[in-house]
Amino acid sequence: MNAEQNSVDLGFAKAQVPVGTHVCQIFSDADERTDALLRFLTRGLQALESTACFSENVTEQELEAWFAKEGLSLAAERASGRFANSPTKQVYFQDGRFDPDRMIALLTQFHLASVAAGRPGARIIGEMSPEIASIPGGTRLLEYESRVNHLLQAHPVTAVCQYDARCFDGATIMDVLTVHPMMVIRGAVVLNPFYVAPESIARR
Amino acid sequence: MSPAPGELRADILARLLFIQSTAGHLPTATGVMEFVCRGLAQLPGVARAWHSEAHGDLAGSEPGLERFPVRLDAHHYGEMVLQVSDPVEFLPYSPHLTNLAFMVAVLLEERRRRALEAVHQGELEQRVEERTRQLSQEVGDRRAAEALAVAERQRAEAYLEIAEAIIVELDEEARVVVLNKRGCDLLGVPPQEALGRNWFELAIPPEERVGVRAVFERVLAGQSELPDYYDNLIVTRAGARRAVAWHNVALREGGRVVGTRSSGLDITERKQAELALAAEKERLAVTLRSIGDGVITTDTAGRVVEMNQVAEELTGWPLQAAAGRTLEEVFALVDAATREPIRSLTERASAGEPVAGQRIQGLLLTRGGKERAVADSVAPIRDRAGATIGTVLVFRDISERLRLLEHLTRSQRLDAIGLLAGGIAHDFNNLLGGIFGYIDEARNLCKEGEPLSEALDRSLETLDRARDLTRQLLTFSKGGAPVRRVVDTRTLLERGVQLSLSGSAVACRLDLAPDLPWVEVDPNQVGQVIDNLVRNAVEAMPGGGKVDVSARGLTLHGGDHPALAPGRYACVEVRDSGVGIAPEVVTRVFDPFFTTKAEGAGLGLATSYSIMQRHQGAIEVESQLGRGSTFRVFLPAAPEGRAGAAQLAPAGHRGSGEALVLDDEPYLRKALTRMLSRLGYHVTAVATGEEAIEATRRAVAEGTPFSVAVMDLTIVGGMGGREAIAEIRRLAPEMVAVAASGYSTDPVISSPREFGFTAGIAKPFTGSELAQILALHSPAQPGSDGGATRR
Repeated sequence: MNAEQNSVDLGFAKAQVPVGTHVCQIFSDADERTDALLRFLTRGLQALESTACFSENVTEQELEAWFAKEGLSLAAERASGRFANSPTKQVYFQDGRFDPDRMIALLTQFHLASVAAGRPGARIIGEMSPEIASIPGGTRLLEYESRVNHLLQAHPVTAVCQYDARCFDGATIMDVLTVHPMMVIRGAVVLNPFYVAPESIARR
Repeated sequence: MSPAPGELRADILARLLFIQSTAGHLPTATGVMEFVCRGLAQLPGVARAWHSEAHGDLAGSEPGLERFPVRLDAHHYGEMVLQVSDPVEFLPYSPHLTNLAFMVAVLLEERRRRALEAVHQGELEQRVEERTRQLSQEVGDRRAAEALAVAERQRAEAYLEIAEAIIVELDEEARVVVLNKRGCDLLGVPPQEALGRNWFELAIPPEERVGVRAVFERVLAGQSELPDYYDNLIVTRAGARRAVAWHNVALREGGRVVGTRSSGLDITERKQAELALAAEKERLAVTLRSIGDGVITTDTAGRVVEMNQVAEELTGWPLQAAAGRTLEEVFALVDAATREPIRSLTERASAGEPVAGQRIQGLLLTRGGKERAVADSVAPIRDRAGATIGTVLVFRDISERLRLLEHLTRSQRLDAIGLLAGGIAHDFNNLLGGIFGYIDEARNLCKEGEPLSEALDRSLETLDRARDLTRQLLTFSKGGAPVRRVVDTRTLLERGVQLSLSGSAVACRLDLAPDLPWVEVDPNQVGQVIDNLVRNAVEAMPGGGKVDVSARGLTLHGGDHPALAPGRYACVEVRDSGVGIAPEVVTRVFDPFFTTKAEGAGLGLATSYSIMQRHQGAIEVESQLGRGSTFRVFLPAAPEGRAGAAQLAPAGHRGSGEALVLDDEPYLRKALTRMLSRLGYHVTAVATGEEAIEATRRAVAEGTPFSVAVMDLTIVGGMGGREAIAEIRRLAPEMVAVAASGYSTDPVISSPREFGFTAGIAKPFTGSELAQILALHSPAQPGSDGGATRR
């Protein structure tokens, strides 16, 4: 990350956000999801940032087509080590369980590697799978999201969490909101009025 | 700065907006409600929030539960139920939650209708498909196909005929293509007359035609979508207006809108019911507003539902802030004496106690911290079935009535005490008169510097104080009618305050308004009042301080003050920042012999009160323990034109010629003779009225008429000055006749001219006081200090 860089373009929002922002996108339309994901990735790569994507809902063809449209090569970006993507379940539910400690370590490593490679920034977009509700360790989802807020203070990765409102119950969606300081609403990134600071979450 | 409890917080409003914006993402009604309620549980003052399928009667709400029905027209989606842990924190958001519930209902209703449309659309498509297939199969048999088509059309028409809704289809020229039976019936036109007619001319009243047509034309032009739902009036052939709610679909061919199909429901009755309800509410509101008493209604839980403007003014609570709070909070009543909260009639009524017809009195503590004396009564509100659904509290401010009552009681008490005190003081005063006269005379016979002269001076000073005391007693008692003169209030106050504060370390701020009117008062008596008040103020601040004396003009109208007639007054305020007066004794400070000081007779304020009463003025006090007191005096203003004409009396007088003295007391005759002699008169002294008349007749006959006469009004067992003056005045009309009496109550002293005298003087008096009277009423003499002005 360039020391002078203090805000980044998410690619799908109207304004820039501070580096290391933790954003939540609640969507109910597949196009909305894909559009945000692809724009976020290509904008990161255009800025030469370390860029990662954890999603089951984007295909190689979609990635290739979109990258090409933006003047990027999927293969070349992968080869350079700037871009990596994996299905959500492979990353989040390794060994059939959800382990926040492992995920935090993964994010930390992602940032340290980016810094070591001299990249100007790092960004990740991931879509949470509804299977979290039934997977061992899944009850620690809010704890994980809250710890991410802490982590990003020391390791400023710009992170977007996608949640498909059609796959989660309303109460979970509201709970998820409480651990994301920023939200995407109709293409604008806004401060989330339901956000609860990590310290308060810990007290709960 | 964090907001105070009960204030709206912007971040909380943002949450509500956020919920509204995000809820649309949730695909199911259950998901929406889970999301919304989870968010509402995080509002201030809310312990828990959940969705209930019930949509029952709000009157049956449990305490602590707030219910927000999710309802749009006749469609119910249950209610959001909030368990409120802190009503003060929660209350400001209540209206926003009502709005949120409505918006959620709109969201769900829109989805329901969309789903319904989708089903209908699917059915329609299926039918078209089936029909096409059938037609394809039957195309070989045209007659059969035609018969089937007729049957289909008839069946469709039959559906149209029995439909409760009005079905109307318009082409792009707004001509009626289809209008079902219900539509024709409502409009009062036969189908053959309706078909082909322009819909706007046929059915839309002229006043709505432009607006409705504009919407239609915009839709046809592709400039806007046809609104799914639309209310407007239609007009029947008979001219009646009916309100119809339409659900519209644009008919397209190749993407172009070629007409519309609408189904409408006659909602006239509903609209009328809404209007009637609104009118009823308005009538109730007007009735409440026009009631002169405060009115508060509550629900069965004792929470405020409605209150009129008078209630808002008396309690200091606007309805917006009071709604939903407990009555005890808004209408906090305490016992005037004990300051203990009074269990309200509403509470008693809620507890099932019979309260009809009862009234209670107490002090209402307003929201702003003021206190008002109020009396209230309460009655239950019942529904048509007789069940109690709340209570109505009616109350009025009785502060003025209590003040008037207190004023009357005090007057009666003072009258009784005054009668007793006055009798004693009068006899004592007569004795003092004699002593005073002789010592005054003895002092005049002494040379300056003699030891005796000093002793006599001290005696005179002591006597002066004794005389002041008896005068106070006499003034306070039934007598002491003011000898009124028009005086400059400004001068009166400046001199009075300066005199009262002489020798005191207390500072004074005198603030006299430019509009301060002259007053028509007895300057001596009013000076005494000012002196009492300023001295009281000084004594209330033993550690020093500042006395504020302010005065301004004030016009009172009928009912402005319980003890004062309408008119113009000078309002004088004497304010100290001293120890204040305890609430339990503040009403007694004007009682005679009541004092909080170690020294003092307790007559000062009683006398002041008495003086102000006799001036048709008033005196009142406001005090807070530890913060000081304010005494307020209302003095009747002098009539227009008389102000400015008066001057204060000159200091001295020198007379000449003959003088007559009438008094049955030999020592007073002698004392008066010496006083007048020293002023330059040749004195004739007599003991009865008859002798006075004879002496006057003789003096006139001899060509040396009396220029002045000082006459005692009452002679024991004989004719006094009161009876003799008529004859004496006839003999000597130009004579300055001064009435003297130990009864300062005597009306002759306050209004001497009405009884034939020139002036009046209350006994005892000094030579210089007599000289002042004579100076005011005698022609100017060489040696006098200045011209006197006659009243």
